Amino acid sequence: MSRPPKKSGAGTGQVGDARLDIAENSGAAVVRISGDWSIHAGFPSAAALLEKLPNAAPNSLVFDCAALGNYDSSLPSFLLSLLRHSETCGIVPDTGTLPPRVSRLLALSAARPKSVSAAVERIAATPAAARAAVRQRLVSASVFERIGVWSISSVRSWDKALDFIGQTTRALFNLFRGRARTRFRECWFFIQASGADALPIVSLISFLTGLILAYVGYLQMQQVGATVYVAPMVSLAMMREMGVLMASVILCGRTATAYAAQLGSMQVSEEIAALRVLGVPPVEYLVLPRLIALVFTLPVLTLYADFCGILGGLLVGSSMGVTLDQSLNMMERVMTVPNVTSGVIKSVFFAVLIAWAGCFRGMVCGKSAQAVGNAATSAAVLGITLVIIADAVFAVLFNAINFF
Amino acid sequence: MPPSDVHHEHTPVVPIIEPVPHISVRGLTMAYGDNIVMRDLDFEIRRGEIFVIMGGSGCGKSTLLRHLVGLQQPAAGAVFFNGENFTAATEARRDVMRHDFGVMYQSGALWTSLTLAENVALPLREHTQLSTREIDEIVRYKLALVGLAGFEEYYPAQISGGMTKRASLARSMALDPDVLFLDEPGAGLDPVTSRLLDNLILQIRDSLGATIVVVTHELQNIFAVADRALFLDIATRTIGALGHPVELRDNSPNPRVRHFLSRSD
Ligand SMILES: Nc1ncnc2c1ncn2[C@@H]1O[C@H](COP(=O)(O)OP(=O)(O)OP(=O)(O)O)[C@@H](O)[C@H]1O
Ligand SMILES: [Mg+2]
Repeated sequence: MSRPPKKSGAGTGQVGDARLDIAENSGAAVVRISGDWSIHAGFPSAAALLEKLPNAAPNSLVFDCAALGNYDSSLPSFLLSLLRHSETCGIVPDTGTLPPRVSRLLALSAARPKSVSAAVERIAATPAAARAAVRQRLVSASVFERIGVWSISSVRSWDKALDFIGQTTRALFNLFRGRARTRFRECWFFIQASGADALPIVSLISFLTGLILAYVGYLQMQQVGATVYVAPMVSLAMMREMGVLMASVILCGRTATAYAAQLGSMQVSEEIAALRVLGVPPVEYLVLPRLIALVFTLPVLTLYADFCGILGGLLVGSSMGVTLDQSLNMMERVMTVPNVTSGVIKSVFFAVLIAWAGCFRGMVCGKSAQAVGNAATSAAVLGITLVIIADAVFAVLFNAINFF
Repeated sequence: MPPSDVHHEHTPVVPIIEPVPHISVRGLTMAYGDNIVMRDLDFEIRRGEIFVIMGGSGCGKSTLLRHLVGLQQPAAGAVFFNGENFTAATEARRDVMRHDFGVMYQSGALWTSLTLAENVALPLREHTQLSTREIDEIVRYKLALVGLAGFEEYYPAQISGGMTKRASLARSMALDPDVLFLDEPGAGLDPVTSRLLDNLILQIRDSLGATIVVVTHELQNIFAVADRALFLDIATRTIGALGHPVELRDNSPNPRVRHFLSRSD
C-alpha cells in the first residue's frame, strides 16, 4: 500500500498562496477560494471576510473554487468558521457549490451541529444586529469595556463575599447555641495540620526575623552607645507585631491555601452539593471545624513565634558585647501585660480572617482544576491582605485606648 | 441479590388513579446565564415508577436532575413534590423535603475525607436516632447490596471509577428514600455489573416502593428498567417524547427519538 500523499490535492501543482475574494452577484455573495491552503502557512479569517460585506447584505452565499490548489484541513476549518459566522448573520451558505471532497470533510464536522445552534439560541436578533454583535466581538475589548467587566465581576464577588460572611455568622451563631452540625473530631486533625506541622517553619522564620531586627537595631543603637537596648527592642517588636504577623503569613501560605484547595476540589467533585442535598449546611460541616482549629492554633503559634524571635534577638545582642544578664534585665521592663497580650489578642481575630479567606475562596471556586489553583492563590493573597489591614486597624485602636 | 431475569417482560406499572403525582415539573426552563439549556419542560413522575431521563450527551440531563433536587434554581417554572411547590419553598422547608431524597451524582461525589462506610453512615447519623451498631449494620448491608462488601474501610481515592459509582449508589440508598435520583448509574461499569445494577434498581422499587428517576443514555439500562422514559431533544431544546421506551422506539412521531432508541451500540 502506498503512502497517501501528504496533501489531499484537488487542483494541479502550485498555484500560489491561499487567496480569498468576496463579491456580490445578483443578491448572492460569491466567495472565490483560490491558491494552496496549508495549516503551516496560516489562513484568512472568516469573520474578517464577512466584515467586507455591505450592511444591506445578501442572504445567500455561494462558492467559486475553480482556482483552488492543494489544501489540507485548513480549508474545512476556515469553511466551518465561515458557516458559523454567516449563520449568525442570517446568511444561508450554499455548500453544494463546494467541491465534493471539501463538502464531505465539512459534513463530518457538521454531524454535531450543537455549537451552531447554541450560537443561534443566544443571539435571536435581526441579521444586521447579529452581524454587529459578531463585529463587536472581533474588535478587541476596549479599555472601558474591560474596566466595566472588571467592576461588574468585582461587585459580584463582593456579593458572594457578603453572602458567605452571613452564612459563617449564622453558623457561628448556631455553634454557640449548640445546634451546629460540626464534627469536632475533625478539629483535632486541622489543629495538627495547621499548628503542630507548622512548628519547624515558624521556628525558622521567626528566629531569623528576630535576628534581622536585632542587626538593624544594633547598627543604629551603636551610634549612641545604647546597644543594651537591642534585646528589649526586638522583644517588643516581636511581641506586639512581628510574631503574630509572621505566624499569620505562614498560616496564609500553608493553611489558607490548603483550605481553599480542599473545599475547591470538593466543589468540583460535587461533594458540597451532596452535603447540601443531604440537608447538612456545608458551612457548619466544613468551614467551622477549620475556623475553630485556627482560632486555637494561631495564638499558640504566635506565642511560640515571639519566643523564637526573642531568642534570635538575644543571640545577636549577646554576641555584640552586651552580656546576657544585661539583656534579660532590660527585657524584663518591656514584658508588660499589654505588650505580651496584644499580639495574642490580635491573633484570635487574624485566625478568623485567615480561615475565612481560605474557606471563602474554596467555596466560591469554579469547576475545574485551574479554578482550584486560582482559589488557592487568591486565598493566600486575600488572607495576607486582610491580616495587614486588620493589623493597621488594631494599631489605631490600641493607640486610642492606650493599650501599652 | 437473588438472580432474576434482567430482560423480564415489562408489566407497565399498574395505573393507580392518583390524584397527585409524586413529582411534577411545570413550565421548567433551565439556563446557565443567558444560555438556555432546555425550555418549557412539563411532565409528571408517578409514585413508584422508574422514570428514565434520556438524551444525547450535553443535552441537560444532569442539569435537570440538579433542578429536581434544588441545587439549581430554574430560570422559569417550578418543581412540585406531592403537590407542594419545591422551587418556591424556603431553604429550611426544602431541607425537610429533601430528607426523602437519595441522590447519586454523575461524578460519584463521595466525601473524600471519609471511608466508604462513613460515607454511607453520614446520612443515617444526620437524620436518624440509630445507635452506632445499628448504623454499622445498615452500612454493611447497603455496601453488600452494591457488591462492595469488604471495602468498608477504603477511602474513595483507593477504589476504581465503577466502584465509586456503586458506593455512591449505596450512599444514596442509605435512608431508604422515597425518591431516588440516579445520574448515569451504569456508566463506566462492565456489562455484567451494569445488569446487576439494573436488577438492583428494579428490586429497590419493588421492595421499598421508591420512585426512581434514572438519567442514562445506555439502551440496555433504559429497556431493562424504564416504566416511562423522557427524551430531551437537544435540537429543539425541549421534550422530544415521553412514554414507554419500546412504544417510543416503534411508534414515536419524533425521528430523533426512534433513532436514539434503535441505534445499535
Ligand atoms: N456549570 C455550568 N456552566 C455553564 N454551562 C453548563 C454548566 N454545566 C453544564 N453546562 C451546559 O449545560 C448543558 C447540559 O449539561 P449537562 O451536564 O446537564 O448535560 P448532560 O445531559 O448531563 O450530559 P452527559 O450525558 O454528558 O452527562 C451543556 O451544554 C453544558 O455545556
Ligand atoms: Mg450528565
